[in-house]
Amino acid sequence: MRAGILRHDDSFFPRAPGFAVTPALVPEVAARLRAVVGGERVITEPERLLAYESDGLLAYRAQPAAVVLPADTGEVSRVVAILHAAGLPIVPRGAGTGLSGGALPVEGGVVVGTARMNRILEVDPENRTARLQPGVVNADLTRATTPYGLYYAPDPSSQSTCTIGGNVAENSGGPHCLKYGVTSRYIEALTVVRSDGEVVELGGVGRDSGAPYDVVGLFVGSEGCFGIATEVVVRLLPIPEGVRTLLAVFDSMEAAGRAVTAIIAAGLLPAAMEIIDGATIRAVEASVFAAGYPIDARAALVVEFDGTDAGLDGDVAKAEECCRGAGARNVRRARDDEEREALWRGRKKAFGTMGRIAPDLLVQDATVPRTRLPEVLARIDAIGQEYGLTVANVFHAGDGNLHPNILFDRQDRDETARVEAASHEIMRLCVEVGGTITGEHGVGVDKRKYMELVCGEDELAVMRAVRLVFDPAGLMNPGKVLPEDPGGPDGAPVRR
Amino acid sequence: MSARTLAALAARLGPGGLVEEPEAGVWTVAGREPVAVAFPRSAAEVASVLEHARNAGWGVVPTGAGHELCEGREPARPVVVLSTRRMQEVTVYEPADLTMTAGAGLTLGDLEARVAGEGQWLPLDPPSATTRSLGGAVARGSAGPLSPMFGAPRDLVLGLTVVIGDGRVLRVGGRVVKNVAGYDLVRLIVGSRGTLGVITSVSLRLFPRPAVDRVLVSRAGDASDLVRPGRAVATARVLPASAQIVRSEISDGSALVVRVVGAPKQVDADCAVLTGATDGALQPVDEAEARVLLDAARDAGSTGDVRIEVSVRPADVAWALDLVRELREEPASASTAGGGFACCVLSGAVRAGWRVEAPGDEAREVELSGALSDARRRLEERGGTLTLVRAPGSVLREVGVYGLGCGVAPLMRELKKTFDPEAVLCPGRLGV
Repeated sequence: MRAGILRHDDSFFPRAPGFAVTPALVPEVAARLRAVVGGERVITEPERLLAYESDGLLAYRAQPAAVVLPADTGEVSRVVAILHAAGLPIVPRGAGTGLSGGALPVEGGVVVGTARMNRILEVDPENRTARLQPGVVNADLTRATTPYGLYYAPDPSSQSTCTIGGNVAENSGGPHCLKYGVTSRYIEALTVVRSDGEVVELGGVGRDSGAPYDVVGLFVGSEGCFGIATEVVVRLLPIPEGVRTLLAVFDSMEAAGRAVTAIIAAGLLPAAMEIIDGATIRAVEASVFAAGYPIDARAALVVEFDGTDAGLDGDVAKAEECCRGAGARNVRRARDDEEREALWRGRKKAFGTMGRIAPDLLVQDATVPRTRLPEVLARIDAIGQEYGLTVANVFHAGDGNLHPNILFDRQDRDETARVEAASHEIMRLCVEVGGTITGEHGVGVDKRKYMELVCGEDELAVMRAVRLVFDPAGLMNPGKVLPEDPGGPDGAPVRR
Repeated sequence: MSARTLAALAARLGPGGLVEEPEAGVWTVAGREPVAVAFPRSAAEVASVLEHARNAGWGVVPTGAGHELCEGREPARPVVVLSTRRMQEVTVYEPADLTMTAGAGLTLGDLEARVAGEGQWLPLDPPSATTRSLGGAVARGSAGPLSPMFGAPRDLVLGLTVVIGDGRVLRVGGRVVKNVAGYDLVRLIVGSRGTLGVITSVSLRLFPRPAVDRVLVSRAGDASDLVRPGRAVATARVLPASAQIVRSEISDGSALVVRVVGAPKQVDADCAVLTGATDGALQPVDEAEARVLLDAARDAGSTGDVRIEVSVRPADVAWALDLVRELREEPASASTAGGGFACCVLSGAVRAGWRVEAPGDEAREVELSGALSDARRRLEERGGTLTLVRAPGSVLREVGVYGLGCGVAPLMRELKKTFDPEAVLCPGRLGV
């Protein structure tokens, strides 16, 4: 089978190069896999494979030769060793909610899914850690630790479905990362199966305190290219005593930006600061998730504080003052959990509601220095107009992490081409002002073409070399993250 | 040949750029005097130093102010010390972004002074913080007392410029707080102790300086008596900024030092919770005493001829303190001359240092090696680690800096080879 060929819905999207030459999954190899995990857990029927053809980024599709669903570290190790011996590309997959195509199969390769590895192995309240398998859903972890007064801080928007293993692969963020930091901060140790099936224990108590290099930190965010994490030790935090949430509505994005800057300048450290723009507000209000935002507003800012109850009202009052001072036309404070949910609803359902007003939605992701937000948003607006596209912005204003969402119709080839061109310009803009091409969604297959905007040849070469340290065979999730190596076929890394 | 190399280097680095045969004892690298000390002004000049040294067959040991030069194993061949002292420029400081980019040689004290005027701070507090260089603190990667709340150095660094061992200048990460573009080389470099590259510039995340900064203390003659209140703090429903059990020359006995920061009402409430959780054992102290105890908590255990860093699960700190006491061969109430210890009850990190009474006593060193190896084995059995930061040469050779598991050691070696194929940087220092 010739690899690197993806079935693609629309040829205007660039093709994702796959692996150089993928050997076929011969029946003997499939039989060996079945012997390890059980017959039912090796999926090869084309109609069942359909569900694995893409992840949350629907623009790309590719059919794997098989999907294997092992149950624990031992099974993953044996499965991977078999695939390694057969020279088959291996694509790890959690819940498939990623938005950059990180779990996109390699045509003819094998997907190793963590769906059955969904057990929380230990909650240790005395040491505030938990040990779990990678297939545990993010929100389920906090549910399990809540009785101990503990929770897991990183909260990507997809937390009700995405898995911890996927979060580790992507170094996922979320609204509350402003105060608490991203996934990497909360990972203490990992059990990792390397591409030849070897099991290594990375990190431990204190993570890198007993080792010269922070290999856990290096592994987190490696998007499945270094190996498969089969057990994860996470750090938990005590559940904050109280939460206060406010919503401020503005007639201009500049005013909302000023409010954010004023809140930071006032020395406040909110748990989250989120903005949705006018286009998003209108989409939300037209949906069943209407949160009562005025539809002529240009920006809605949600600010949340958490921590010791006694300090919160003072913080919120200061933040409200900042919003009014910046020209907010309306500031509301949630009085109870129900109101808090309502204030958040518009933000949390934004992506879903936009899907209702256009057939397709490209959820972009980039970070810029916070102070450049108003300027960047104005320029994104201009880019949208130039290409005749509707761009709706939802973003983590506190840390400058933007999600410009481009609405389009995939059947319209001309429009799809304009989406691609506009995306590229938005990325270039974000890098130009000192930002980067992805803040939390990862590079995957979608943003490989933008990596050269943020990395020079030397940085890319070193990243390729580091990847080969973990995966000398180049079998783990090939064709992701790094752009094609000019020296290697189809982006497969070459050892030099 | 070496004279020619030094002349060429001196010419490249300009006036004040190279000191040949430096005064003994000032720039000593784990017992070995360097051939010269270089003070490059840019990443390009750092690359030149690496190139000249490589051609002459010398190693290069990067440092900022020189704090860590005594750590690790003695270099097996001649070395040049490379100080980043002449790279102190703050290139970007946007207070409203809470970020800064500065030269690696900037001292943490100068950085602090620079951001204090904007009501901000960098909660990075390794031992001797104020005189340390930013690059040195980042390369060393030591988590100070504040790290459980504000993050370890790796969580505070957004991006780096680093000249890797083969001379290539890499710009990794960026200067925004969320960035997942490519593999996380920033976290690999942070804490790599100069063995992968020379950090020349650092982009950092800053924080608003808390309105109130209060210290609560409980004192005891014997540190073991402080474990109970310490554990109560570590499992309380509020997270203090730091909580250390400490004993050093300046601590006046053993003390549990708890720091609470934030808004006035919140600090009052948190202090009440922590005092209640410890049955009143924790009490506020005045500012002067607080300052001394915070310095003690930050610095204790970072001096002495033998220095170790131990990590255990927080619930095991009582056991770890006993083990450290055995190693130091003294009852907890005895003198702390030449060292002391600090134990973070939140993370389970213990740092300890002590004096070797009879330097060069071979039998004594064999005994010490045995005790350290035994301690490491016992710690590893309970999921902990022991890092031997400093010790007499024979002890370091015997015990090793780290106790790496068999699967991980080859990975570490391969990473080192990727960045520094000819082992120019800190040759042999970490035994990797």
